[in-house]
Amino acid sequence: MRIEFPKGFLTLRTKKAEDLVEHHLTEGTFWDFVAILVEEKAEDKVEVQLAEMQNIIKMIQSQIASGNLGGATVSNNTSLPSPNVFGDDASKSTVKPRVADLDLNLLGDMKQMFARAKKMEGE
Amino acid sequence: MENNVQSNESQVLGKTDLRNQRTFEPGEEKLNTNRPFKSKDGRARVGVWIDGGSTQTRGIMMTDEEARSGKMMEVFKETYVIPSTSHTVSTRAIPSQNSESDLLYDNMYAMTSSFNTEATIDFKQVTIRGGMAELVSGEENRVGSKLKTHDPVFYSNLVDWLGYTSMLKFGDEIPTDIDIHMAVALPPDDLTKFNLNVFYKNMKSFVWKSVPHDITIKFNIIEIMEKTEPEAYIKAYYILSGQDVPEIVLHTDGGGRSSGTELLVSGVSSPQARPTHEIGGTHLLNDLNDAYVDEYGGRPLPRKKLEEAIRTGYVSLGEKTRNDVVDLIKIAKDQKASELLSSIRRKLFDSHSKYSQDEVSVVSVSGRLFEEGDYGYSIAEKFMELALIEMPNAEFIHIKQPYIPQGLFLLTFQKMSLLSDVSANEAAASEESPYTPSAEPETEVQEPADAVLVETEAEQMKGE
Repeated sequence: MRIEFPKGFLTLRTKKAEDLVEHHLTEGTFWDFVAILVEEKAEDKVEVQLAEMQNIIKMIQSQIASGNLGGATVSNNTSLPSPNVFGDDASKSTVKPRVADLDLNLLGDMKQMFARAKKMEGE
Repeated sequence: MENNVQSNESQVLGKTDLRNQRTFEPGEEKLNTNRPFKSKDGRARVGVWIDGGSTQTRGIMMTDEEARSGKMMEVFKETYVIPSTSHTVSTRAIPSQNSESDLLYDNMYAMTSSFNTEATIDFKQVTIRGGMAELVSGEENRVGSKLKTHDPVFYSNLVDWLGYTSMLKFGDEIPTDIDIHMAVALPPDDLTKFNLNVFYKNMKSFVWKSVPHDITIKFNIIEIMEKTEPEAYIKAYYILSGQDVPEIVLHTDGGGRSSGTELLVSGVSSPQARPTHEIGGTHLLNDLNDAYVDEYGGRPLPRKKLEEAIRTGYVSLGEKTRNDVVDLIKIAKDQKASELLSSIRRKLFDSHSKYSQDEVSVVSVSGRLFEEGDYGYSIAEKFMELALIEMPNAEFIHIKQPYIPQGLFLLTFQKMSLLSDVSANEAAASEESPYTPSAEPETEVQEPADAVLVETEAEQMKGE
């Protein structure tokens, strides 16, 4: 089975994700594709956010459901995977920005902070 | 400066005690009080450091006495917050007090009069906000798409913040006259000479009255300083954290109306590289609205529904139906991340050839635009993913707490004339050994030229 995407199907996706899909969706079943992604993600062979992967799955599901996925066929006994197959929480992505929280109760001395402020003002 | 309420106050006032029955936006909890407020004839001198956002107006207020007496650090950490949305009403439209509640939050009904002949913007208004705003329908006043220095709602928010914060600060001894030394954070595009002149002309002196509490205060603006919002934020972050500032820091603060970027080079601002981007929370809501109507049909959603959707990921339709719109939100957020990065590239790096993107050491973001929502997805994530391609050597930081008032304080206090007889460093040193002034301040406070008119109006307002 060969799966081809309509033109513009992945316009909102990054180049990296698009390449990934292009690479893996040349043949095989939908489940094969998911299995490869899960396996490669687990082995850190692919660098793509979980949220991104979930979105790809959702888009593919949508395309299959609407019959718009050119050339794709899904056998009757194949259930579609949940987008959560890669994890149920997009926030678990490993490439999130570092979150910085400061505790104002742990501040240094006001005089030191004024000195730093002066320096940052170029004085 | 006692903010806690006495247990028998509500009984004294004879109203239902609604404390702890409301949910407050973070920071607005100080308005959850029914303490008694009283005027006291006299004059006070305070410094204020204010961030007037489109959702909340927040700031620090410090009296000159506090700055001298070793309380600087304590006051520095205390932020006062009011909601930035309001309604303009006729005095005949609503009762002077909320009959259901005696909380300050439920009785935010204020009149402002300005007799400044140089003023170019009319913000002489009767406004209600907080719980009282729920009693009326109609369009909310909200900081719009104009420059803040040209937006009457921004002025109204600053004035009401001064009024309500003075009430909370002084409690049962609220001075009738308060001299204000002010520092304000503005978006970068408001900091042109022309726009600042507009701001100075409009922020001079005014009379403010809390109608339900019958408290009238004359505010005289003695001096004004200003910084950009992203500058105040990122400098506060590095000063407060004590970290060394990396070589090139690119910081973006995302607000409701717009976002602003600050470039720090060796810890110092690069004033030519301060773009404002017409990308903010309001634009995100508009995009979500378009996508929602496209997907589900029907009429555009009201703003409150959209704000709830961005926060929770759902659009509630009645009590039983709700649509999961997380996918639509993610697409809208990704689009905004892409637009923001493109604007930064165009307005900063393409026109500021001295530095290139791959030299950036840290990319940081802050502000409500980058909030995650209950579904755990922030614009920051897509922004980082896209930016990594152009700035591969950068570390990405999402700073979540609001530090703009603290940044304003640290950057301006030393230049203010709030303490005319002692340097900022001497005052700071008094944090360890309290400083006792040996004499009254030498500099006299100049009476505003329109003091007589202000006096007359104050009397009129007292009589209303």
